[in-house]
Parts: sequence; C-alpha cells; structure tokens
Amino acid sequence: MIDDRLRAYAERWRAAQPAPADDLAVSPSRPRRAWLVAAVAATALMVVAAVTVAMTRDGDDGKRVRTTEGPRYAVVPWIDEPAPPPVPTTTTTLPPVIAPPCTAEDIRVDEVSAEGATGHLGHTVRLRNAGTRACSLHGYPTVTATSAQGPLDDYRQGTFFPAPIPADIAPGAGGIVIIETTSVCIDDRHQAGPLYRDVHISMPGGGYVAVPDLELDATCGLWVSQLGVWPDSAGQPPPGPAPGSLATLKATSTIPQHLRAGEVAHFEVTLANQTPVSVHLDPCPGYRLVLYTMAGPVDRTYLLNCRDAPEIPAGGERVFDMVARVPDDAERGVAKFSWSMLDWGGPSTGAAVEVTD
Amino acid sequence: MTDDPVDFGGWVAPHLAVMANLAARLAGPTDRDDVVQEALTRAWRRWSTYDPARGTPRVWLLAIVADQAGRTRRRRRPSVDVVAGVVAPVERDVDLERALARLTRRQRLAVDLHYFVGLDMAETAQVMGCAVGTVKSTLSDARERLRRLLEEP
Repeated sequence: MIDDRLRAYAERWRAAQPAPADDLAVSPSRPRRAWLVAAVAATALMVVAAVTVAMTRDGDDGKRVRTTEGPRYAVVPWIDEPAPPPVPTTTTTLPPVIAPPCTAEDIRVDEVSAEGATGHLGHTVRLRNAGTRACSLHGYPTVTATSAQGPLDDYRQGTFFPAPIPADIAPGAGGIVIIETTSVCIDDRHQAGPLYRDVHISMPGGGYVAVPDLELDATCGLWVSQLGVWPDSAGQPPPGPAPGSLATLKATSTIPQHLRAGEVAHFEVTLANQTPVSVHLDPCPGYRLVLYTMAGPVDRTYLLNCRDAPEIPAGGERVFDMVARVPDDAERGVAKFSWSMLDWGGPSTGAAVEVTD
Repeated sequence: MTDDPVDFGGWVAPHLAVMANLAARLAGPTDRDDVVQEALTRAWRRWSTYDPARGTPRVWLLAIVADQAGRTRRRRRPSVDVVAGVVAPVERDVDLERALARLTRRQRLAVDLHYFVGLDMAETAQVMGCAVGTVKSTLSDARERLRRLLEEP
C-alpha cells in the first residue's frame, strides 16, 4: 500500500521537475573556471543589485548615498590605522577534571554538524556518554581515516573555531570534538587532495569511536581540536548572537574579480543590520583582509572607520570603502580574498579572485 | 580519463537530470541547481580518481550530489517548507512529504534514491556505500515508519 503510494507520488513528482539549469558549467569551458566566473559573477550581481537598489551618485562630491527611505549615509572612507590589540577573553574558572578518562566503550557519536566561516569548515562531532559513570574528555585525539590514496597521516592540532574545554561528562551528557577542513587553498593543478572516509577518533581512556557518514576533503589540510565540551559553562552549543552585537551584522562586498599583483585595489564592504537593534561600533572593531594563494596567505589587519560610522542602525546598513594593496610577489592564479571582522562570530565576506600580472 | 572539458561535459550530460532530481529531493528546489553545480565542480576535480570498477558514472555522480546536498543542508536553517519540489501539492502529497521529512537521514536517502530518482537496489546501495541487504532493510524500516505516520493499514 505505502509502496504503491510512494511510487505513484514519485512518478508525479518526477514529471513535474523542471529541467536542470542551462548554465550549469559542464562544458565547453572548464567547470572549475566556469565555477569561478559564476561565483564571482553571482557575487558581483548580488552586490551590484544591492548597490543599485540602495545607492546612486549624488552631488558634486561624487559620494554615493542611499536613495531608499531612511537616513542618507555617505560611503565611509577608508582609514589606514592598525587594528586594536585583541581583547583578552574573560577568564573563567573551569570545573576540575577528575573523572576517569572516557573510553570508546563509554562514548557514542550522536551526530556530526558542519559550520562554515570564511572558508573554514568545522565538522562538530557530538559525543555522548552512553556509559553508567562519569568520564572525562580532554586532550587531542588521534584521528584515523582512509582514502583511495591511503590512510590519513597528516593533520594538525588546533582549529580556527573556539576550542572545546576539558570536562567531566555525566552519563547521558554530551561532549564534542571539532574536525576542520578548509576551502581557502585552491589547487591550481586541478588535482584534488584525498577524500577521507571511515573516520575514527581515539578516546583518552583508550579505544576508537567511529564517526559515521563523515567525509573529509583534505585538499587544503585537516585540523582537529581537543576533546571537551562547548566553551561555555553549560556545555551547550553557543546561543545565537546577542542583539546589538557585531555578530548580528551581515557583510557583502564588491571585491573585484581580477587583481593585478602590485596594484592598490579599491572595493566596498557593506555591513547590514537586519535586526531591530542598532549595533554600536564601540569599541571600534578591526578587520582582517586575507588573500589566500597557493604560496600562502597574505594577511593584513586594520581598524574600521568607526569615527565616521559609529553605529549600524537597526534595519540599516553602512558602506565602507576598502583599500588593499596586492603584493608584487603575490602568486598568480586563482585565489580567495576574504574580509572578516576581528570579532568571534562577526561578519565576513569573500570572493574567488584571479591574481594577474 | 582525460582533462578535456568537452569530454567531461559529455560524460556527465546523461546524468544531469537524475542529479538534479536527487538534489531537489535532498536540498529542496531552491538549492537544487546550486547543489548540482557544486557537485559538478567536485566531480571535475576528482574525475581522475573515478574508478569504473567501483560503480557506474551515475552512481559516482549521485554519491557526490548526496554528499553535497548534505553539506548544503547543514549550512541552512531548518525550513518549514516540507514539500521538496514543485509538484502541485495535493493534500495527500503534502501528508506524504511531511511523513518523509520525519524519516531518518539514511531512510530518507534510501527512499529518495530508490523511489524518486529511480535507482534499483544495487545502485542505491552503491550510492549509499552499503550492502544491498542494508538498503532493503532501510527501505523496509522507512515504509513501516511512513505507514505508522500516515496511519495506513
């Protein structure tokens, strides 16, 4: 009965499906290049559309101002000032880790979820104490995995994401470990790195637990965090961004598709506040510009111009001029350019670019 | 296997429709073409690693689509739109889609591959990376759960 119903519905569903888009990049140009063009074009289209809707030239000074309803803001000029020193994180007293180390018999993998940020992809492996006694999660685990090219033999400790903290976990309670991959390198030889499956993670008390359904693309490297719990006292996943915080902002940019080595590139970053609470840029945050090439990242940090834009109003946005000098020796070819605010969870934006002579 | 893009285009072209169908099932109609595009990009990068001895091109491409849809879905917030397609949502279909949305990820994948993409058991098993017997039991479990959810006899 249910079989017949499924078949009948599936047949109707298939018949109603539109054909795949005509512009899928399968030929005649190389898909990867076409992907780059499509990605950049899509980004540019979105930005152009946003800018077209929101902005127009106005007056003799050539500054662009908003033409939609609401306050009119000029584009915020770029300032060449260094980013503020990092603010020390609040020191918290961690509970002591006194339980015996968890073994593979104690621990089950509940699920794996993925979180992305500026090219970093964190696979959070949620662990659960399925035993009858408390046990502790701590230290860097050993990760094993296999690929068509052989076993995983190269990964590093520590990830881009906040580190889990060592903790005792009661029966039924959860812990995590984060495995990070990244898409910020681009293999210019059109060769992918190993794709690992059959992932296992060692437990501090001995044994390995299997992580089902996890596929790790290690083309650009692989990192693993310590075992532990979320870095807040409750051991729960971090809540959503607090109203009025930098993390509520969304960033878009007009990063150009092509950059010449040695040029001073100009582009804009729009910070939009789609919440009903204004975001005050006090203290004024810094931001990071990174050009990721095969030869390694080119990394610069600056202070945002909060003097001319002390807040992002509720429901509004501000556009910031950006200036970035492309190094003379920047490696030519496809690269990734990213802009990110120096605040955990803060907005970021990026685009694929091509560095040319 | 060559790096000739025309060859690649011709190689994937016969499978685009089923790739799109699976992407629509797993990621929804809005993300369908993005998922297929990302899957094609990954397939292009890994084309040299494709091994005919381990499965047909269709199976290999659908496995990439399934993985890519999972990545895309994990980055999205849960949607309240449970009708994963553009089919006219008659009431019975809406009920069935709602029930399908309550299956486990593996059950849902097996159902989508077998019923909606139209793969046989062996191909479904290859895409899912498991034995044919596992697919059969997964589908049986899925149907039983659907039956209970829909309160069918």
